[in-house]
Amino acid sequence: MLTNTLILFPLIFALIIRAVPRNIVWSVSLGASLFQFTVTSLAFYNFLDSPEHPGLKNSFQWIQSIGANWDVALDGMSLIMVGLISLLLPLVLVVRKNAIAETHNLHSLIWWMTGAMVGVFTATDGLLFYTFWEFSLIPIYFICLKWGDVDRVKTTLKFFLYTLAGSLSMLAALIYLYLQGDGSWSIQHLYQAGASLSAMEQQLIFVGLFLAFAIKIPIVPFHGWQPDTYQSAPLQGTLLLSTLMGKMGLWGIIKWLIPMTPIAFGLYQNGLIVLCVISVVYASVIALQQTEIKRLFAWASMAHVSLMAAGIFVWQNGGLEGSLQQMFNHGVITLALFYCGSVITTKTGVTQIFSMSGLRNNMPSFSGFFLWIVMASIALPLTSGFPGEFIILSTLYQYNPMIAAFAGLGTILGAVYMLRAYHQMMHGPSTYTFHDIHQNNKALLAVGSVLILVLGLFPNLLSWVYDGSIGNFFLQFSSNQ
Amino acid sequence: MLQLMIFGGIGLLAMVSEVLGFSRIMSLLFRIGTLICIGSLFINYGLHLTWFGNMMVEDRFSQAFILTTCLMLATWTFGFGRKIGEDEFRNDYIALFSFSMVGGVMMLSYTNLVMLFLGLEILSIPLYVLVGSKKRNLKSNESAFKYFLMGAFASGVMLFGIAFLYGATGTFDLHQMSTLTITVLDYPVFFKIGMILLIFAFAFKMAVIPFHFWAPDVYEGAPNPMTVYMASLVKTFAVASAFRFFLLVFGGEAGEYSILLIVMSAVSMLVGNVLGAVQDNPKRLLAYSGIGHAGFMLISIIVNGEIGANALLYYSVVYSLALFLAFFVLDKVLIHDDFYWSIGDFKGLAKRNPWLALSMTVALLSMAGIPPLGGFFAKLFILKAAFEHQHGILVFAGLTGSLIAMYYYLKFIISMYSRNPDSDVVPYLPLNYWDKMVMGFIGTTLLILGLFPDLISVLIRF
Repeated sequence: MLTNTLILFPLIFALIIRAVPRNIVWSVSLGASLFQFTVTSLAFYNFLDSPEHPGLKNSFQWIQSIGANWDVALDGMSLIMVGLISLLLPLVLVVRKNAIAETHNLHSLIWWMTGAMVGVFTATDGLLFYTFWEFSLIPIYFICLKWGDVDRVKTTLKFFLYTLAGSLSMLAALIYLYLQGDGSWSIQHLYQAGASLSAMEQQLIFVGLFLAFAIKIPIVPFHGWQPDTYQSAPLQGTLLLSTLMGKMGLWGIIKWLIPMTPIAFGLYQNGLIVLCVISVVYASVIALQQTEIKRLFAWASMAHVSLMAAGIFVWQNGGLEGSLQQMFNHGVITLALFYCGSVITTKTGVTQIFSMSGLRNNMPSFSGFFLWIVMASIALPLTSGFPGEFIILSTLYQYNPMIAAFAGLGTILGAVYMLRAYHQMMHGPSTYTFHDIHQNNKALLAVGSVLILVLGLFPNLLSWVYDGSIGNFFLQFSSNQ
Repeated sequence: MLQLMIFGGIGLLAMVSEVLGFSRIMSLLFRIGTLICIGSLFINYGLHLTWFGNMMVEDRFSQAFILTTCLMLATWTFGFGRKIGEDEFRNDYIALFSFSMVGGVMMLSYTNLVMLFLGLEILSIPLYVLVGSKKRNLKSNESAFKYFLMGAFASGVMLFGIAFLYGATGTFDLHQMSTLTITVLDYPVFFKIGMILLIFAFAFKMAVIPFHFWAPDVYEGAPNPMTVYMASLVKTFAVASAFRFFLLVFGGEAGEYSILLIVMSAVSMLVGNVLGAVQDNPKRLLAYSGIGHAGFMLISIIVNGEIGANALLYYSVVYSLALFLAFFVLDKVLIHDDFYWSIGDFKGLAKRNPWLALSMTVALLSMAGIPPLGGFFAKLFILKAAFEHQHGILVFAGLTGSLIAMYYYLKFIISMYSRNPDSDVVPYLPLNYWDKMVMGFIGTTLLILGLFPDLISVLIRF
């Protein structure tokens, strides 16, 4: 029942919150997010108690005529992602408490999206997965459309059409795969159906699925929608997109792409890793030239997720572990980073990095937090950005030192663009008159910073949740072949 | 058969109601008649009944389609009946609607080409009148005239085709024709000509490219209740009767004629939606999107068999419901007849009329095929059927068409949810409980059909 609750509670609450009186929307919503967090903790507790706990796996019959079931399950890997959602949800709800009109609509959409994303990460039925995948697209579309910047119409249209193109190709691939099997949409049956196909068919399916996930992550050359959308989306939209939605693509690669089409993956593996590394370097180089703060973070985020994708494509325990670790940590760091960006732009009123200077004189404590978060973003040891990135790079090194060298370039360039931006904005003479940030904002940043520190010092906190599951996952995958 | 008699009887009653002085209760009688039809279908469901010397057969296929179309008709009266009820000629309209339903029922249960032609004519002739029922509106007259000319031509083509088929096979009966097609492989060329002409006539009624030219003009000019009736129910009758023809004659895929259907279907889905993307008028936009949807439904005819029938049934129901919802909103918003409405005029609709905008969004998203609304599963079943019969090209065309369609549906949605309306085209439109109930009912049904698609697929089992 736990998994069902985690999916259905947000969806139902999304309706309830519309009826809540306007003046208490915010606190009710926050309270509900704490409930969601509690349920997630309970799931964690049950999982650590026994990974086979019956509350974690729920299923009943859905569409009998085509063999689709409501199958949702939490294992160590999905628990990490669901934990990330539940952890970030209250933070996403809290940011910019008063700056947005029609809070209840926004919160309703955020809750809707939460339910859909938990569904994506827990579904073990092909049709259900696709349903949630598409279902999560509508709320983010409306969030960007309703509260976005001036260009929102153009960028949201682009974003939606990009992702829908990917989704439709995934739909075609999934239907084809389903028809090759024995009339069931269950993920195990789809694995078997996929593994039994010829190399040619597998390649077609691979391309269909890969397109959807690569657009969502995004990897070069499927990234056209990303910087514009991140820039024009409202803060909450950017946070949801960068911290959680991009992870859906990575999750799809882990759970739905590679095990479905092992032969095709074997053929493309080298090319894919190279593509991801190109994506890392490309995004980093472009980030170097950005003068606009949100765009800079968008490209930086893309460099990081591409590296995670590379780690996954190595398809070994190490790469997957590093990527999962980094998926979680990157979520926290990116949230903090975009939040800082929004604080800076609202305080100064400009978005250009090079038209600011000396913010540290006005906001000493903010600049301290910001520095720590920037350090986490460039993977300084002791911050949570480090362990995941380190594992990925070392796995890549074992795979091919040359590729690892180029991937490492991303980290170096990351230090260059982030520190340069920090230096430009924070140091130097100040011409501003405003004061340091409010206590509430400080509290929020403090939460993020402590998380970064704790997860940096004790990466095992995450890894002992997913370790067993990754082992099982690979075991089952190798026995399928 | 009972349905045919009920609708025919109501039509006759409506014609004499003015004289005999019970015109006030006529619309009530029409509704009761529709409900009796639905009830009688539940009682007779699954029975195999033949009528008129085997010229009409009630089987699971026809019963399922008659049931859903009657349910759709009930929903239609629920949503648009009041608007017609206020008209001074309402009894004439009721008579015409009843007669067109008679034609529809015949088209769903014929086994003889004579019955098909009679059904088509009985369906079409009242429609020509209904399309022009806004007598003083120039556009309504224009569209009625266009529809009549083109429709009469299409009827002629169909009759010509039937004549050729009769010449080649010596029978009007589809079962006999079917045994002949199995035993006699080498047909005279007449048979092929007849088949092609018949397919063209069906394509005209379905508004499939390249026989689609009438659709946007007629949809635009006709009064909203008639437009939605044509776009949903009449389209269902046309597609289902074509389906029935291929089912009875070929019992599955239509051999070499499939190629013709495949081309028409793929072109409709691609070109229809591309043309939709450049439309500015909401009714024309929905007309072009209807062409794309007709292309989708055509896939079910190509695939045929039980899978195709199920997919078509589900698709027609969900598409009709979405259209009802969309046109219900359009009917509320497009208050000035002579004004040329463009999508840009919908700016700010969400701000002033959130429920209308929400309903329209639900309808458009369902048509676009976003889960968990019904439209997604409709497309899923069709695409699955196409894949099962190795029509990859149709899947490709369908998905590309859906993507293009998404573009203009989104354009519409964006327009409704845009801020800062500079123009005061759409004022605040008060909604009463009835309106909210209609929109809520249709929207919820779309969602429920999406969550539990099996509700409909139990209807057809061959």
